[in-house]
Amino acid sequence: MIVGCGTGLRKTGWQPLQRERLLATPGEVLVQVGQQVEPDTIVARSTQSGVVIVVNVAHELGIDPQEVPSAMVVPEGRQLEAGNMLARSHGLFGLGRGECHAPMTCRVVSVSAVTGQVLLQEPPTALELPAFLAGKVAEIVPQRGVVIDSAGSWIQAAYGCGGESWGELRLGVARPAEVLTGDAITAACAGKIVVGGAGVELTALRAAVSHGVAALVVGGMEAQSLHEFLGSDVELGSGRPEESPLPLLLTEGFGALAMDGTTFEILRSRQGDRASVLGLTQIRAGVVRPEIIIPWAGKGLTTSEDAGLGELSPGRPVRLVHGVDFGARGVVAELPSSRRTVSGGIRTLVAVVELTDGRRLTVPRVNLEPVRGG
Amino acid sequence: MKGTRWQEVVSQTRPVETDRRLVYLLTDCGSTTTKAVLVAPLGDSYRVVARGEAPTTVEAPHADVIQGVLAAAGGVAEQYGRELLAADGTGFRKPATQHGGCDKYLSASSAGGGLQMLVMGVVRSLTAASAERAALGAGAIVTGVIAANEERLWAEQVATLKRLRPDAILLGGGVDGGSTEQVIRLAELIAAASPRPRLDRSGKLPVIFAGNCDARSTVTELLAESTELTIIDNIRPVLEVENLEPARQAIYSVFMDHVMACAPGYRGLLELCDAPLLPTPAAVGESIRQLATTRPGDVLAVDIGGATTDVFSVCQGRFVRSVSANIGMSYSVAHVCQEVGLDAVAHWLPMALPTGELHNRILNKMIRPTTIPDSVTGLIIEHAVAREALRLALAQHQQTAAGLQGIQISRQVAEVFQNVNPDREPVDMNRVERIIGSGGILVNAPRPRQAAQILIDGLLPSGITEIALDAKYLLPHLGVLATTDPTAARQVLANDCLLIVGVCVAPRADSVHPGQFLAHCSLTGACAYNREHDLLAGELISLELPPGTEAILRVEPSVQVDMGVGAGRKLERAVEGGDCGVVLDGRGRPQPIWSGSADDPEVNRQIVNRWYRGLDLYPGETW
Repeated sequence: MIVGCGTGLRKTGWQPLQRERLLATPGEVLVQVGQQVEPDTIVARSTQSGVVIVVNVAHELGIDPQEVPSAMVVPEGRQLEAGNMLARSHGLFGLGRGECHAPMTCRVVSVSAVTGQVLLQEPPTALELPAFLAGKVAEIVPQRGVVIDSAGSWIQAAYGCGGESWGELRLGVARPAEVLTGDAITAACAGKIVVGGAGVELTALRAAVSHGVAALVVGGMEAQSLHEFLGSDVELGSGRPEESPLPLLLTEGFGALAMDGTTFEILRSRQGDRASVLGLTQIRAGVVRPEIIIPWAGKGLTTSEDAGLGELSPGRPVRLVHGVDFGARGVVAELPSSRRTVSGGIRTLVAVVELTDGRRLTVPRVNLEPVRGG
Repeated sequence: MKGTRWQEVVSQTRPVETDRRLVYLLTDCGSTTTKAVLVAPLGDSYRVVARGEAPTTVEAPHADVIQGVLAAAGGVAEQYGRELLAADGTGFRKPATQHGGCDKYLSASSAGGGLQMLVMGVVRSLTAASAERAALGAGAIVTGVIAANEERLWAEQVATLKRLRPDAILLGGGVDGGSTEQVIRLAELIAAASPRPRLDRSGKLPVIFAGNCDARSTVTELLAESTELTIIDNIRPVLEVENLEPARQAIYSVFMDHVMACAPGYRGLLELCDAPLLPTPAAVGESIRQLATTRPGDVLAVDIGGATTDVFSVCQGRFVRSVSANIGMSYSVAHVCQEVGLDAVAHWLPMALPTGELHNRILNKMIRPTTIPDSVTGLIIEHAVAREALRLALAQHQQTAAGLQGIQISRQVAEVFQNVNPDREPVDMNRVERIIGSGGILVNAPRPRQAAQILIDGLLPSGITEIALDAKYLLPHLGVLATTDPTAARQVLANDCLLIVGVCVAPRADSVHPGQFLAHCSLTGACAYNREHDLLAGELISLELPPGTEAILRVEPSVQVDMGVGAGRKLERAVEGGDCGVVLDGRGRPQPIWSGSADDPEVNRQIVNRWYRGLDLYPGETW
């Protein structure tokens, strides 16, 4: 039986990992099966169509739309440089002659005798796709990209922005409940992924940008600070990735939330290793959570924890991901089959959880995250 | 059922066989949950006899919607105490006998994101607006609107077309016989962008052309090869006429052939269904239409979801649906707060919060959308957001429901004498006699009166308005049932669907000062609950009238106060009680007189605190 629960962000000390790296548009694959790749190895390349713009030639030359095809001095498909003549009107008895020129380097896509518009397209731009994580090419997807096999530690975060990055892991705090301050970000952090705890000061964020830090990973941060840093509101509903001066990942969420102890321990134990981070959060139309991948060979395995498929059962270790006890851990003691009223008054399916501090709480199942280990 | 047209669905609205009344199994496959109900004759009328639900299984690892449907039906069978599933477990036992089974299986679906459409027209307020209304009326989510007369650059419009990846495009534009230039320009735009469909990525994007008939041949030349082009009658053949039905039929065919056909397991589901599958919003709309026929008066219904909010209205017999794509209580909660500002949300809170906490809580709800409040503070914050979400959604609905723009309105002599204002909002809250709320935030409210107050504060009804909830989430099921057996649907709507929460009495009074007498209100005919009260400006109280109790409500306003029938005119109506009784709202309409109190947060908190305590919304709480 499937028993629903919360978000179920996953974290593992070590596990085999596989990632598809695919181009948005067909192109050329540059690596071979079995080849070892690093995060910055370009595995595939394609071209992106140039921007299409419209020039209303009829309007510019003061002629009727149906006269535009005969006014064109270049045919459809022809490449033009900026300033090349596009069309010319002869005027009446040579009076009122006019010329129309290409506004940029482009190709003539189409000429319309109905609207008098000419479509021009800028030259395509090259798109290079890096491997993102260290590993071995397991499969080639013709014209699209590759599948990369790797293994190591893997942590999903609650929120991330700023896209992909990679670098050496470096702790910026000593404990998961510590705030990452501006002083902790120095020139030695350049190109590194810096790990913080229960928050990050705005000065640390700005220092990270100025020192060229590869990415920041912290437990939580104040929504208002993020707003000031990004210069805009966080809003994931639109489905567009949020832009950020650097990749920034929050493993827990917003507010002064300490980084989960297990997460911090995984990151602490791999300090100095090269890691890859994805700062992207998509919560609609296909969930994408930010992630940290630390490839390593698998010896000396430290912690293994996996939220699994979101199933709850008596005896299952869980973690609270909502409310004043956010982050508290415990074990499911009971799973009542009927709905119960929780604090606040809502009737919902609940779990009775025995926390590690001895308290026994009745918690909405959707506010729990199953974990492995205590 | 593939390719079935809307007209065929509607044509099934005919009496069923009279020799034996049928048993219906109905499901609604939502994005997260599939809900099933069994509707059967019980005594003289149809009733819901069992319900069940299961997670929707359209995503991996199941990737087969039927699994969730069968699991939900299994829950129904368990409650019903009889078998519903066929022996091989792949379908339903038919026909219904005394041992179980059903006669017909019908379903609605919004799984997989529903039907997402982009609409285009020459002028934003004319043909683009008509195209938007046609798409919304057919149950689509309109993800974007492009008009030839907008200020966006061509390149931006092409980029929008490429980025949105809709399921289909509805292209309107131009009146028949008029200029073709601008609508052809829009067709050129589609050709230049060559957008791909959202789901069937190897296929062509469906484009429905519903514009100037003189442009058909050119549009065909431009789009026939690169898109799946369908040409239908002009959505706006002349400026004064809007012709939405052909577009609605074409959109419905796209939903069946291009969206449902791509969703995992839907081909099998269509085989199981005894009538065409409906998009969930279209099914809800059908229920609202049916409700509007049961008694006079305009109806307004809202469905606040996690990502979107649907608003339906039937005003003076005209049905309108709008969808606010980014207004919702989880995925879109941050967008609501961004639109209205955090101060507007804080305005509804009776307690002070530490700096930044409200912002943090809102964003945490967004990134963990399935979490629910486990404290009164958390609950009140969500209820505050819901009030603002409703306010935004109604404003957008008013725009969608606006009459045809760009035409001259000839006023009847009688209208002049009745002082009918032609610029009045299309949904006139004075005329709305019933408000129906649906969606988790309302239906799961611990006390129905909390939901009622969210609806009152968010929608600001005026006059006398009944407040009800779709407490069992039956509107989608009954909408799809209405296409096959409208009598059964109406009976279940009357018997099982709506939970009457109470009545709101809100006089219109533009320039009154706090404490001024507004109206004398009295309840009679309800024995122990007969009461009277002089309603003062700024006051918000309720008269107890328990569920199932009927009474006569009489309102005698002062000379400058209007109950929707003219200043100073008395109003009397039979009302039914509910959890919130009769709410007497003297805060003023259309603009509440207390809105200026936001300048002083502490004063505002005291006012809100007094209201919430007076209505016993959150018992036992003091702030």
